[in-house]
Amino acid sequence: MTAVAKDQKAKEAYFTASQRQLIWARFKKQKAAMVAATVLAMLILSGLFAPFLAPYDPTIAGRDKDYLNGAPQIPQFCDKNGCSLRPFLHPVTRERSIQTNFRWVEKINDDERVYMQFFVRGDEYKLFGFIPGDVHLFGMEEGYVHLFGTDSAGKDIFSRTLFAIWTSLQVGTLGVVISFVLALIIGGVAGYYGGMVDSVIQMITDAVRTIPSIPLFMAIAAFIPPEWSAETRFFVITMILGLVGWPTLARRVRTHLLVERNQEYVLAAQLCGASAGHVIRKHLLPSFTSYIIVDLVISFPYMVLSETALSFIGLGLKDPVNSLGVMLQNVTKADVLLNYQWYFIPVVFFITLVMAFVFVGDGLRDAADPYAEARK
Amino acid sequence: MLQFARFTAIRAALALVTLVIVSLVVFSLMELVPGDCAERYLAYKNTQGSAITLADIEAERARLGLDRPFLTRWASWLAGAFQGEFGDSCILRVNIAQLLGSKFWISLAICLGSLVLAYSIAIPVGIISAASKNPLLNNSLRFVSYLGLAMPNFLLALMIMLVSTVYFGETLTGLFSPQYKDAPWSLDKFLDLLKHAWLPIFILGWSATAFALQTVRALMSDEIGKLYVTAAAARGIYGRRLLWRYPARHALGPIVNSLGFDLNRIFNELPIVALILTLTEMGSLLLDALARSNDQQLAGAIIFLLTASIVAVNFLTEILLAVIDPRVRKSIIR
Amino acid sequence: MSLIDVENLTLQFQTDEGLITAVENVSFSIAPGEVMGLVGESGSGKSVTAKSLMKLNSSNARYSPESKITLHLESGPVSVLDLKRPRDMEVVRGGAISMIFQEPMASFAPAMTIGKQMVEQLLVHSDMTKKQAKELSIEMLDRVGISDASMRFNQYAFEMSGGMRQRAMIAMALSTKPKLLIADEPTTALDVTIQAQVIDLMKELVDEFGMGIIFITHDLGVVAQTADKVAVMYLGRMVEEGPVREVIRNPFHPYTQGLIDALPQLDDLDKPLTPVPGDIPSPLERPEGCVFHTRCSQIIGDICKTVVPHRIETGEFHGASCHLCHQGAAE
Repeated sequence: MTAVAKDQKAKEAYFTASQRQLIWARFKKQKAAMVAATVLAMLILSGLFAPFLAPYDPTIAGRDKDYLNGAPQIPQFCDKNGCSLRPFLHPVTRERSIQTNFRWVEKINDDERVYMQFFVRGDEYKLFGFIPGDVHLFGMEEGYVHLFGTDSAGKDIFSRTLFAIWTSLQVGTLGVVISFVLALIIGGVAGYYGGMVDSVIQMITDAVRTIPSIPLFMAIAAFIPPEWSAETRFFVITMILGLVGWPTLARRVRTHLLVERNQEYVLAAQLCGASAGHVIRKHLLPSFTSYIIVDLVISFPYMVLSETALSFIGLGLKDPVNSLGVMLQNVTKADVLLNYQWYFIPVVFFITLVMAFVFVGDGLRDAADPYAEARK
Repeated sequence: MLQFARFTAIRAALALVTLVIVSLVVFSLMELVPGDCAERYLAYKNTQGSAITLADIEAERARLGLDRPFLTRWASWLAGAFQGEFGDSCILRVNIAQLLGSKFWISLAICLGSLVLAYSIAIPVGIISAASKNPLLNNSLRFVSYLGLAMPNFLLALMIMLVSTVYFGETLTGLFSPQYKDAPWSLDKFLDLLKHAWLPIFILGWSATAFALQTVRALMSDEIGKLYVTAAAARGIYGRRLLWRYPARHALGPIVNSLGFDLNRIFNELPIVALILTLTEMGSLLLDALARSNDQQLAGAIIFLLTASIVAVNFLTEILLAVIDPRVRKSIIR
Repeated sequence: MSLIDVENLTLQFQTDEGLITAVENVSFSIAPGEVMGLVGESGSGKSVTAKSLMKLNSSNARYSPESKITLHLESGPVSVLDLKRPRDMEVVRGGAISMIFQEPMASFAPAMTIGKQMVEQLLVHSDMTKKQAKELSIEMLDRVGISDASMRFNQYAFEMSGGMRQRAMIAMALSTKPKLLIADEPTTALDVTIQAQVIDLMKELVDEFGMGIIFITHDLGVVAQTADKVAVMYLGRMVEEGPVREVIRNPFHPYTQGLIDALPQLDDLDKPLTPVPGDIPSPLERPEGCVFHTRCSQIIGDICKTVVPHRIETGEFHGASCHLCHQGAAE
């Protein structure tokens, strides 16, 4: 192919590119958003494969009863006896007796080594909820390894963190989907019919939007019967998040629809004899799906943050479902603050997750706005 | 002037309608809770040793007016709510209005304080960063404000508590020193409150500032790109005069418009921050009401009051907007 | 002596995609009282050229070191591109040069009265008191044909009609008695009948104030009516310039010919319109050689694709940059 023809082809590709391709092309130019997207992809993958990546079951079943409130252990390659190719740990024994004033005292036996193993069989799990397995990425020859330490019940914080990421992603996705379906119906009706229907729906949407959402969450969540199982609770909480989150999205859907509906290309399609269904399917939906996706990504972190806040105060998810809020429930106590700072390690991951989402959402929003570049 | 009064009246009416819708939502939620006041009250009596019958429950319902239809009960609740009267809490068995009393005003003052803090930082910093072309400044500001969005307030509160406990050996909790807690209001008590209130104001203001910074920056960048700014520069106006009289002046309207939503966000953070700092104000009362005692009357009253303050702020900003923005003002008078 | 001399103006914009050349090697001068039409399609660099005279281009604009813009004032010559601080540019911006924009609505600050903006400008550029400035502003509004000027003085731009806004804009631009007025498509956004009124008004004011005007437009018809001389720009280059009648009667450059052929002729309605073929290329992919060769119908070989044609005199004060002219001159 000649250079001219290639050039022509590139140009044609530009002019015939779909909205999605254009957004992607503009998105790729933003460095911060691309970095965030990579981080986000990694977090999503580690959440998806949490059962495999985590060495232990995050629930009470996977506890290490000899290492409660244990500090993080970092596998090393070298010690005073030389180096090894395989990472290892020194075995730790903990004692509590009258000699130590009944406080836990750790004794590190640095003459012995416990080697790390990869692809070991361990606690059973179900990958993606249905593929059974028991192979974990890493483990120890004997005993346990706790990269991020353990909590007061001896549960591995590293494993819990990975599962918590997975829970956050599930909550966010489900919550966003539920509120999106509601928003699409309510905003769609308002935007499509316009007039009186629109005004009344707008008034109600605005009124509901005025109610501060977290107190509202709390009010609803507080009335979930305590005897419900953790899984049921998870679904109900997610439903509530979705139910309370719709007004903002509904407003956006409505605005998109109202704007697009009055565009001249819709009129042109109608003049060509297109049916209402055809106009909605072939013209209206494609014209704003990309914007809606952007809205969804932007509202995702707020779902996650709300869940965390709710779980943190004990009204959201409960053990054995893992989420950051659940993990942080006990850290307000002064002794935790002072002595067990590794409880805060998951926070770093959590902030990274939310930041990655915010950056990606922002990048997508800029990329979806065709005038963003001109304004710079 | 007459048109302006009419505009105000219409806005006030719309605000009232919003409150009525909100009250319907809140009241329905209260009603959805399994078990009503009569059952709770008598269940409590039961634990005290007196046996109760179904007839007792019915009699209690009639006494509390719970046998009336839903709409009637809603109407009377609403009528009371507009006068600041929310009846008795059936768990605590005290008058809700009395219980909330000064707690409501303190909470509101703290939230408004953090709103003021947020904007007194966000307006100058946002304007300067929108006008500046320094990429380092802009990127670091962007990062800080994203951090403000991503870091939940309760984490910030926890961190501050951690630092203060480790380094200062004291816990920065509560709103009053012990000796003033139950004392009647006095100047000393007020000063004591101020001494404690800066921390919740700072923590609540933190993410509010991040949001406000985003808003101000985006609005300013929009305005700076407009033709009238170039036109003013072509007339020889430059520097701070150009910045403040042209884009900043015109971005003010939308900023005022967003105040209500910022207050909404602050209210979202309030309960959790209050829990961590063990403040005695409304947020933690709400938590108590919900988490510990399922007190739907108290919860309903608090949510209604919070929403009512947002509606009030929205109403005030609309009026303010009409005063400062000639486009709105002229559209009213015409 | 000329009022303003522009020599070798070359201007590039620094963007994410690299340097984009917007104006290349443009030179012209304007005498006091002279009206120059600057013609070209959108994207030809005419507005950017005009804004350079006041250094109004956005901060990513880079002027080449050879570029020179000299403004001859009573107090001595001012080299515009050497002015660094906005404070020093006061002399030029709104002082010696005023500018009228295409969108009268968007060029007034929406939340300030017309009068306030006029008075502000006068206070910056003269030592009038507020009262004097107000009186002069009202007088100017009256002068441009706005009835009830003292009432309009206190109005906002959104309360006026399009034509009235542009009149107010003209009044504001002229109130500081500039030596040069830049009118950037001042009539494009207006109805045809209002256009004629505004053009008549501008002609009258030129006679009265005796200032130079740069009239930017894509409409050769408007230029023929108003301008003394015309410069045709294409993709940042000045391809032909000369006295307006001369250029319109004997256009040399194929692009100028194309623009003239594209005009509808009222006296010969059956004559088919002949548009210039193709689209103006994006500034990101400026053609080598003569920038116009991708659309030129009279291309004479590889020379057009490789060698940049330089300006050649084709008549008195009339010049064009085209290899055709070189060929004609050689023969």
